[in-house]
Amino acid sequence: MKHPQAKNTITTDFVTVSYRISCRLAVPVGGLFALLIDPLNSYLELQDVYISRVNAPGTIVAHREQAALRKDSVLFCVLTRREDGDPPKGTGFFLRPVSRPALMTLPSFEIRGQVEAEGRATPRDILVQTSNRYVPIYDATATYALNPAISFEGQLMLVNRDQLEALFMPED
Amino acid sequence: MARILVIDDDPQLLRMLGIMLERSGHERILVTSGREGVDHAVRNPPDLAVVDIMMPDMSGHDVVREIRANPATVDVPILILTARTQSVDREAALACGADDFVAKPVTPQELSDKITEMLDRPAKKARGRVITLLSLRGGVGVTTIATNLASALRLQLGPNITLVDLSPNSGHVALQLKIQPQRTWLRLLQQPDLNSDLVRSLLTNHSVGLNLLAAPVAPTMNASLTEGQVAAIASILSDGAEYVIIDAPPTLSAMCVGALRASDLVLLVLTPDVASVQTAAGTLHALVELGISGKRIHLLLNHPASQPGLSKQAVEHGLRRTVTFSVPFDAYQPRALAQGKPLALEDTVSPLPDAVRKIATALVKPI
Repeated sequence: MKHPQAKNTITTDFVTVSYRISCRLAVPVGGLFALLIDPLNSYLELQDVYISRVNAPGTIVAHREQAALRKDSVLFCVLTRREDGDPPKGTGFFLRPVSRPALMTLPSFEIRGQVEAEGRATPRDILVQTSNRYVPIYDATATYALNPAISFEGQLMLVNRDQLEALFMPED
Repeated sequence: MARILVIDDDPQLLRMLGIMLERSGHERILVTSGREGVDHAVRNPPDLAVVDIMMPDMSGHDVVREIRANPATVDVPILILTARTQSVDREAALACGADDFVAKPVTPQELSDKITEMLDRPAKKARGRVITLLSLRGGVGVTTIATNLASALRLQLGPNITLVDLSPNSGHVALQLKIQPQRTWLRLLQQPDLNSDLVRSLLTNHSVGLNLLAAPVAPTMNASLTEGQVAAIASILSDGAEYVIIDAPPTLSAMCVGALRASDLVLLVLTPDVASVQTAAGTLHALVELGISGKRIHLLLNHPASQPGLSKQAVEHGLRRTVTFSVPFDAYQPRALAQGKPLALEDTVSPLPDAVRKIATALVKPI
C-alpha cells in the first residue's frame, strides 16, 4: 500500500546493524525525509527489496516483492541523489546554515561528510535543536568499522538520531 | 549497427533506452525479465547485453552468470546498469562476469557513449582457470599441495601461472618458495576499486617464473579482503593467465567464499583420519549451502604423515564421494620446506611431486 501522499518512487539503500536493504519506495512531496519523520507510521513499506549482509554488501542473499521495515532498526539510509530526501531548509535571514565537516559514529559504522548548521552551532546544538529523528549528512561516506574496505557513498545520508553514538565536528 | 539486448524490469527506462538505441542505429531487443533475457541471449546471441541488477524474477548477477556459463554467449560483452551504485556493487558485478558498470540515473548520452566504447573494444582474451585448494581443518597440507601444484603447472605450461596465498595469519607459500615478499594483498584492504595495474603491481616473481600474490608475512588485525575484492582479484589475475591457484584460508570467511565462488574448480584437501573426514563432510555440506556446484568440487586425499591412517575406500565410504586425487607421504618434504624449494621443481623422483605432476596433467585435460 502506498503512502497516502506518495508522489514519487525512489531507489535507496537502508543499512541496519547486519543488513543492507536495497529497495524502491513511494515517497511524498517532501521526499524520503518526510516519510522517515512521519510520526503516524513506524514502518516503511518497501517494494522490490534486495537484501545483502553488511559484511558482503555486493552479494544479494534474498529478494522479495514487498517488505515492511521498522524505522527504529535503520542506522542510516543512503541516497545517491540529494533531491530524493533532502529536508526542507529554514528561511532564517540572520543565521544561514553553513556546511561543516562532521564525523558520526554508529554501531559498526563511522560516517564522514558535511552537516549543515546555523552559525557556530556545537555538535550538541545540532542534535538537541532539532526534533527530527533523522540527521542529514551530505556528500557522505559510511565505513564499516569491522572491515574498513567496505563503505557506502551518497550525496545524502539520513542518520537515525536514536542510533547515533557520537557526533564530532572540528573546532572553528 | 549492432544488436543490443536490454534486460530491465523498468518499462519507462526500457522505452528510453529503446529510443536511444534506435537513434544510434542499433537493432534493439527489449525484455523485462531476467529469464526471458537469458533465453533471448542464448537463442540469438547479441553483440552486447545491458543488464539491470534489481529484477524481480532473477537478479542481474544470475543473468550474467547464466549468460557466461553458456558456450554460445560466453564472450558477449555485458554492461550492468543498476541503481545499486556503490563500489561494492561494481565489484560484485565484475566478479559475476560483467564487463562494465554504469550507475543509474544515467543520461542517454552517457549510456550511448559507454555502449559505443564497449562495442569498439577488441575481443576478449581467453581467461585462465581458477583453482582453489581448501581445507577447513588446518595442518592437512593445503599450502604444500598448492605450491607444488602451481610449480608443476609452471613446468608443464610456461610462465602464465599465478599462485595466490589468502592466509590471513602469516602465509607460508612465500616460505615454501623461499621468497621474502615486499608487497602483499594487505595493500588492497583500503582499496574499494581494484584495477589490473594495482593488483599486478603486488605480484612477486619467483626465480622459476611463478607469480605470487603473497599473504601478509605477519598476523595482522582485521586483515581481511571482502568477497568482492577476492573475486575481482581472481578475475584480474585469470585474464590472460593459464591458471590461478588459490591457497584458501581455513575458515569460511568472506575471503574464502570469494575464492570459492570465483573458482572453476575446488580441490577439497583432507587427510586419512576421522577428524579430517568429519570436517570434509561438514565442508561439503557448507559448500552446497553456499551454492557451490558439487561438480566443481573434487576430493584430494593427502598423506602428510608416514602412518597409513584410513584407507581411500573408507574415506570414500564415509563421504559417499569419490576421491579424485591422492598424494602419498613423501619423506623429502621436510627437507624441501627447510630449503624453500618445492619438490615439484626438482628433478628427483619421489612420491609427492610424481602425484602432483599427475594432478597437473589431469587438470590440463578436462576432469
